[in-house]
Parts: sequence; C-alpha cells; structure tokens
Amino acid sequence: MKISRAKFDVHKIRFSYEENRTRYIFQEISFTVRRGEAFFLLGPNGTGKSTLLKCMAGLLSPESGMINLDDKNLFHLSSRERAKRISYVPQDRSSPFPFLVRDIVLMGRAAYVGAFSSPGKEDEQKVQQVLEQVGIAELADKNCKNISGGEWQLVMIARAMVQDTGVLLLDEPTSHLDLGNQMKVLEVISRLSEAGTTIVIATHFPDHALLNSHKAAVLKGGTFLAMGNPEDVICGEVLSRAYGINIDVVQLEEPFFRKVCIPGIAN
Amino acid sequence: METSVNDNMLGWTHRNPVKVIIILIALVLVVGIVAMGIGRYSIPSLTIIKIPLSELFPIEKTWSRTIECVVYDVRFPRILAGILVGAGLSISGAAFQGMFRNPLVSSQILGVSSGAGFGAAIAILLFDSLVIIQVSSFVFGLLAVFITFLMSRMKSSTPILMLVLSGIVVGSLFSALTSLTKYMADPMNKMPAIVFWLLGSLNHVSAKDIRVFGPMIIASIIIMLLIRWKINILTMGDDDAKALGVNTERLKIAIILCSTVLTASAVCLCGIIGWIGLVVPHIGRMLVGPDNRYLLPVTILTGSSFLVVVDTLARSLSASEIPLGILTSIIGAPLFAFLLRQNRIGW
Repeated sequence: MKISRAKFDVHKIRFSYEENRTRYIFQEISFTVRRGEAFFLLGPNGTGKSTLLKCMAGLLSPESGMINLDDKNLFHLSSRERAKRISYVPQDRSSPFPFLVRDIVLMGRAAYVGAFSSPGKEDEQKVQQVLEQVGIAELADKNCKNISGGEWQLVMIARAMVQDTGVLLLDEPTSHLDLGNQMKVLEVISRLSEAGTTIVIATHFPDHALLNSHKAAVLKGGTFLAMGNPEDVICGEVLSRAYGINIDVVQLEEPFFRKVCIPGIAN
Repeated sequence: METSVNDNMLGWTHRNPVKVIIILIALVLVVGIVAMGIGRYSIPSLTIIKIPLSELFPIEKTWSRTIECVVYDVRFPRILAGILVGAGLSISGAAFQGMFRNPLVSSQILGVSSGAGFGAAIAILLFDSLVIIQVSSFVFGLLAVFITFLMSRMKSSTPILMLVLSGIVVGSLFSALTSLTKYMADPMNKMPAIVFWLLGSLNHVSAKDIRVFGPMIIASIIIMLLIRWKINILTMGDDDAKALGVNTERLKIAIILCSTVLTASAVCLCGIIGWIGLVVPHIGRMLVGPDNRYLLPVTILTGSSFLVVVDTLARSLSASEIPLGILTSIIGAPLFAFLLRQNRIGW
C-alpha cells in the first residue's frame, strides 16, 4: 500500500439513526489514529463499533463533530477521492452472483477507473500482485461462493489493498473464523501495519488487541470506557464493566510472555 | 486445498468469452438471414444476401420485384425490430438483475411495461392513430417509472427494497387501470384491439418506426455497455460500492433511465413481451459467467437471436399469427425451468 500520512482525527462526533434524535449511538467521541498505527475497537454487541467505522469510511455522516483525514474534512471529499485514501472492509458482505475471486478483488480499482470505462491491464496486474502478496493467488479463478469464510476475508482484504490507500478500516474481520484462520487474517493485517498502513479494527476478541495493536479502546453506551495503550486498556476491570461479566486478564509464564483474557463463569 | 464440486460444474470458467461473443455475432447474422427467407414467400438465403449486394455490385437479378419488396419493406424492418427489441429487453434485464442484486427481476419490475401498456390501451380506446398509441405508450411507461422512483426516494438515496416495493405498487395500479380501460372499451372492436396489442406482435412495425426507435434503443444500449463494469460493483451492495468510490446514485439513475427507454420503446414497437428479460441473462451467465463486462454483450446477442427465432415461429407456425407475448412465455418458461434444473449458473 501507498505510504502517506494517513492520520485520522475524530473530533467530538455524535450519531443517531433516528430522525428525532432520541437515542444516540455515540456522543462526543474523540480520538486520533496516527500513521501506521493499529487501533483496536472493542465493545459489546450493538454498541456502535460498526457505525463508527462507517462514519470513518464516509458512508454515514455524524450529526455533529468532525472527522479529518490528514487535516482535511472527510465529508468534503468526493466518494472517488475518499476511496483513494480509505479502504473499508465491511462485515459479512457477499455478492449474489458467482464472480471469480479475481473479479471481486478487481472491484477495488473502481476509484481509478473512469465513469465510462472498464479496468485495464495494469489494474489486472495489480490484482495479481496483491493476491500473491496476501498468499491467495491459487484462489484467483475460484467461484467466490465456494470459498471458506477465512478465504473470503482475505479476498476482502486483498480488495482493500488494490485500492492503494493509506488507511484500512476492518469491521470484525475475524468473526466466524476458526482459530487458524483468525491468526492468518491477523498476520496479514500486522504485515500491512508494519508497512505503514493506518488500521482501525472493530473486534470481539480482546486477545487480538493484546497481540497486535498499538492502541485500543472500549466502546460502551455511547462513550469510551477506556482508550490508550492496549496493555492498560485491556484489563480485568474495564473488560468486566464492558461485557457485564467477570473477566480476568492474566500474564502467562515462560515461554509465552503474553497476556490472555479469561472470562469468568457466573458463580 | 479443498476443491468444491460446484467449481467443476461452472462450465463458463473454462470458456473464452471473446470466442463466445464471436460465435453469437455469427448466430445473429445466420438467424436474421434465414428468418428473412421464411414466410408466405419462401426465399433462399443466398438470394437474401444477394439482394442488398446487387445495389452495390452488378449482380444479375434472378428474383422478382415483389420479392425485393417483401425483403425491404416487410421482413427487414420486422427482423431488425426483433433484434433491437430482443437486445434491449435482455440487456435491461441483465442490468436490473445486477442492480437489484437479484437474478429474478426483469426490466418490468419498476412498472414500465404496465405503464406503457396502459398508455397504449387508453390511446387505442380514445384515438385511432398508431403514432398517438406509440407516443402515449412511451410517455406512460416513463411516467410509471418516474412515480416509482419518486416514491422510493429517501434522504437523497434510493434503497433497493423501496424501489422494488414501489415498482410493485405502481405496476399493479397501472394494470388495474388497463383492465378498467378494457372493461370500458367497445367489446366488438376496441377491446380486441387492446387485447391484441398487449399480447405483443412485431406485425405492424414499419421502417419509419425503426428510424424513430432504433437510435433511442441503440443509444441506451451503448450507455449500458459503457457502464457495464460498474454494474459488477453495484452487485456488492450500496455501502460497498460507495466505499469503493462508485457514485451509486448516478449509476442507478443511468441504469433505470436506459432500461426504461429500452422497455418503453419495446412496448411501443410490439406490445408487452415477457420472459426475455428474465431468461436471456441466465443463458448468458451459463455461457460466460456473471461478469457484466462479458455478460452484457452476450446477453444482447442471445436476446436478439432468441426474439427473432420466436417471432419467426410466431408468424410461420400457423396461417394466422400467434401473439409474440404468448409464444415467448410458452417457450421461455420451460426453458427457464430446464436451466434452473441444470444448476450450472452457480447460485
């Protein structure tokens, strides 16, 4: 992916799905994601993680507040300009038609293809290159309906990569995946992060934030319960409050040297 | 690596789409020429080819003046109309199936045929001129879709589900109005005229009609072909397409506009013809898969051949013409059932 400044500033945004604004999904949320940072967004179901990502992708506009990318207001950009700067990987999306994986990934080039034209040779080459980079070149000519959930997620990440942006927004990229596939997806994400891509991930797995992130936040009831260094944010107290059950975060002994979350069982 | 059985069943993955397109172009030519020879005056295919060539080269005329008239004034406009209408209805169906993310819709889903049918019916009831019937049909077709579009508009976006539901509402309203018109019409004279119009026929197409509707149909088809890759992206859903930088509203409006012009023109030329817009895109998907870059050209060519064949059957199977709308359904429905059973499309 292209190295750019790709710095995200979210300043005091408020959002409501309702016309009469009786219930806010979130209120006065602010944070900054710097270039090359991986920001993990945690929180219980229905708390607005996906909504926040959609706002950052420019798909939903907040009622008040500002979202700036490299000091430019996100909503002043055309959708084509936005798509050249931000890649967004939605949750559980699929096509009703049996496109080849190659053709799905090619869609990522839309922002670079004129309104009345089709992608050219260079676009196809870019797709091939990214498929190899992600390690799914052998899927290229498969029917996208016949690949596994983990493979589909990698295909979506590949599509985001051919967009050639500095920012990658991922909505629960590891949900519904088995342990092996979860790690495969996380590996690809951390490679991108090392290469300088700014990444924001909504996830249900605190352990993933402990593994990979530079920054983490826990969203609940419209505000952040905690935000900052993952080591500090992902602690028993915050997680217990977020998910409403007793959760411990323990440090494993040698040879693992890492922390894991252990959800308690009631009584 | 697990390989799925379904992958092997998708015959199109191994086919070269360009080759398929070349074969289909040849098919349209062959079907067109053969169809021009079939009818009350049977004309050999070679003569059909020689007639236009004799205008340019000194070829000895082995045919009568009558034969030339039959070819130029009767069969050529009719077959050209069949090609244009078949292409138009099929490409609209394919584009709508992509846009609505549903392989079961056709261009009639927004109510254009019902509106155009009503326009024709009311014009037959009140006037007796073919021009007025065609203008009225076209205008009401556009009007129906315009109402559907306004009904489904919410906060400067047009959700697909709202479009479908509004289309059903508008479609059934105009169908009811058409029934009312039939009910009020004189049962000896006007009512059969309305019924026959609605059943569809290429019988009354003249060279003048082609000059009026031909350019509109061709222009709409060209616009559709230019945006065909973007339709691929629309099948992923609005959010996805927007995030990828596609102006979804503009794209949807372009598709709806082209498809409405195509379908309304078709109704003006030959009444309501069902099934083509639904079945032909599926045949196309069996041949080259769902990628609209290849699917749309293939659909145009297949639709043209299909309608010319069905129309030729309609006018040659029996002494009097069988209405085209009836025959497309009688042939289209079992064909569609057969295709579904084959399950080679991949969904």
